[in-house]
Amino acid sequence: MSATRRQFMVASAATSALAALGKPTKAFAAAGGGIKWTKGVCRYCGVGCGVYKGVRDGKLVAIKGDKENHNDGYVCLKGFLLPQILYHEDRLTHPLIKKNGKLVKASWDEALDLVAKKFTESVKKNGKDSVAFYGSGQAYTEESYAASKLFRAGFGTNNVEGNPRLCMASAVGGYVTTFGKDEPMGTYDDIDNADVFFIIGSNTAEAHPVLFQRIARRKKADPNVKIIVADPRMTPTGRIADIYLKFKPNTDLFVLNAFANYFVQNDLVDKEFIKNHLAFGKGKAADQNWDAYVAFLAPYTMEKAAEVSGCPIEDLTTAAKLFGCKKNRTMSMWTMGINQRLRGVWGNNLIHNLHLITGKIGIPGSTTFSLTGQPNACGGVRDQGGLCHILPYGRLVKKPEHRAEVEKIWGVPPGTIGDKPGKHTLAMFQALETKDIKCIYIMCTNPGHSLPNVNRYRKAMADPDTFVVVADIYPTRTTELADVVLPAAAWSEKEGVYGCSERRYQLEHAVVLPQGEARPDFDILVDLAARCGYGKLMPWKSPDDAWEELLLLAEGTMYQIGGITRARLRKDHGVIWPCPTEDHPGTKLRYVKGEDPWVPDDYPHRIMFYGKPDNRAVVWFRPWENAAEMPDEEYPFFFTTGRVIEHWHTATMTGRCKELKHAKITSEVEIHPDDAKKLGVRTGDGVRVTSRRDSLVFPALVTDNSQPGLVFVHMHDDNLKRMCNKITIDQFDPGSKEPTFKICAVKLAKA
Amino acid sequence: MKWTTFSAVALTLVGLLALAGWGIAGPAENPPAHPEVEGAVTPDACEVCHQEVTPEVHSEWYDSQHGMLAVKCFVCHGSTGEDFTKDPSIDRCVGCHADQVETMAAPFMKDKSCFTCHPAHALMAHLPVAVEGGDK
Repeated sequence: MSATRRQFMVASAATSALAALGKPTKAFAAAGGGIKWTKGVCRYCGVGCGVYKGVRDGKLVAIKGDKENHNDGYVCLKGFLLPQILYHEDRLTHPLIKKNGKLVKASWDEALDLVAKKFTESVKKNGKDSVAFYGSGQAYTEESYAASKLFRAGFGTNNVEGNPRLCMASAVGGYVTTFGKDEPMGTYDDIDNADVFFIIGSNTAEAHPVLFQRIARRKKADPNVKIIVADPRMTPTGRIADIYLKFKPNTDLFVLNAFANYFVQNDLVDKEFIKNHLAFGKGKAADQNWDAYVAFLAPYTMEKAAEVSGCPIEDLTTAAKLFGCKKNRTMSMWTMGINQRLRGVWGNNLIHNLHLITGKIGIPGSTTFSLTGQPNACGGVRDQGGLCHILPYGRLVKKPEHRAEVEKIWGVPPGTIGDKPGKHTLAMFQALETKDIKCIYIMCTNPGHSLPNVNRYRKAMADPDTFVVVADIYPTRTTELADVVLPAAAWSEKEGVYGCSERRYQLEHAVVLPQGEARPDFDILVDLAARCGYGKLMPWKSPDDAWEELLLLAEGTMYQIGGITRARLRKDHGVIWPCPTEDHPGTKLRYVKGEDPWVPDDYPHRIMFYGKPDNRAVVWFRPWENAAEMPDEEYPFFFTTGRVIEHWHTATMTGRCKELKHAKITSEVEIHPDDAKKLGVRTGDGVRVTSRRDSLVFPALVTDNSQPGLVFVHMHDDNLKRMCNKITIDQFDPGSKEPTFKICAVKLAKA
Repeated sequence: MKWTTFSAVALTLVGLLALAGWGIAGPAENPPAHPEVEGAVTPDACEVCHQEVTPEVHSEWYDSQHGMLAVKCFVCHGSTGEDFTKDPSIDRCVGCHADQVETMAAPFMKDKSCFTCHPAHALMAHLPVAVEGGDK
């Protein structure tokens, strides 16, 4: 311990001793005293906790959990501190235009006229696909929709993407390939009915704290509940685990197949369910059968799984028994550890397989549930059609009938929407690099920090020959690269719909005025459309009107959100789709007879996978493969990235809360004691981490939570000297196009 | 290279001033500021120091429901800046326990706070009730 640390501790101990004589103070400022409370939704993760927002004298001053929402009145530590995200002195309060290399203050007219001129000129001169939109799972649904309509029907390009490509695309790929339709079939209520939880590739305790709390409550209520956590690092999620499978990085797909094989070998499969509800597939074709599946699984034995993963065979076997035991209701949960991988879609498929062959699906407590990272990745981007290959509510760009349906509702001539998907996220920024895309509008996200191999794309954005517009609430690592910065109104300063992980749509109310000249993204886009000559596309007076249009687009699709009217959203604490009518309670068990309005009452079975033409979900044969970049002699360590509870995304908001800005904001490199010893480093020493992309120095955190051969760094730190995405690799899953943030190879040296 | 290096001069000054202040004024009801950590290039959160300086407090919290669910020090105590408080107001409980905080407005709660019945840091649901005639 350093001398200065000792001094701190002496002072701190003195503080504690003296303070102990004091009495607790009582203050009711936040509990009452002229505060007006309005219901809303938390700004942060995809759990979508209901909150009440307390306003006094025109200022947001307090947050409390909504007891009538799924979170039962609880919020996490970030949610509790939400009011501060509006009021930091850094707020962007007026437009900025880059002149002579510097961002200088401009008027809205000047800024938006410039954006309109640059985009329309580029379309005329360089073609429709020379412009692009890059949005966010944090924007409201109406905002993402306005952008999508402007770019597809106005500029005529499908270059419409969003950051959910970086986190959820593999989950989408998994649900669509297995079940034919995106989004989970269960809800958070399944937690209260599960006997076994299988949490893999998810640090739920830190990334989704309120759900972790609900799981912990479930276990406390029934000590027989068992929790299996599988992750290469021991994370705080392990505190409630009965079995912790600390597998070697990238061996999880082997383990998942071994579980399936164990179920087959030990008669834990549901033969009736298999016969009635499943098909089997390899590659892209569902043309296989059960026998072929059994043969495919044969090499994936528990013995081999133990050898490959490094997990004790007893733990693997016990976990598989618990999962598969016929009397147990099992709920699987996962997030980026599975999704952000070269074979993220396959990982999703393999988790679904476990539930399908055991029939543990569509029963309260038995479900396969993908956790989402952002508050509106599901509702605003996945459902609304905010990616380059999709159109609203399950429609595909490549299908002429789908384009025609949308064009009809939009009142635009047939052929307006391009017949080819636009560029997915990494392709989009690579096209910016090659100048095939010349103008990009970035809204409510921070790709200058969050893209993998970020140096490459920062350079492309900073290039004076590209025109980059960024709308955000604070200066970020992306606004610093922009040609025009538009000050956006923040959460609570504007109204719109959020759709969280459990298909729950909720309305976020405006409760305070925007800061300075900031404007809601929705208003900015409507204004921009008019300046580009596309005002007729957006005859909306408010987001309410856009929502009406979205309900029209959803009509006749399997999303069935017709009952989620604006009036109902204002009143209810969230509604879960399918919900065809205003008096429908919403659907907690999708695909299940008597619950899901899409399943006919006379269907002969309890569940109907209607997303597939033959009503059969597909068990896919997905082999174990190497990552995009495996450790080798030159770069011998696995490098992985993740999150901490104190921060969210690129910390543009949490980094401006006074309690959080110094709390774990510095990215440390978590290193196992065995490796630390070899390198001669102790906690606090600098460690140089070098990949084929860049080389950075992080302070070491020596901990056996890690494992030999693996180092971890969190992704929140925006210090250019410690931004982990300078190290990560920009390879991606060939199916979902989601980057492989979770695995690349590095070498280490003491700095 | 050490990342946990504080500014020795700044800290010493803060420490001396703080101690001198206490010496003159005596113990304060709500003590002076948290020792200065702002500006220190440190990866540490509260827990790192307090595991050593107040280990009992740390383990009471860590083993509690709040510790299990990562409701960390600053939720109740604020940051180490001007808003730091040794004795949290019950406003800090409102986020998750709004109904219970409302009950504190009752007249018979006049001299009580949440922490009267839910001891700080462990924050058990209820204090163990002494049984008449049991061990004293």
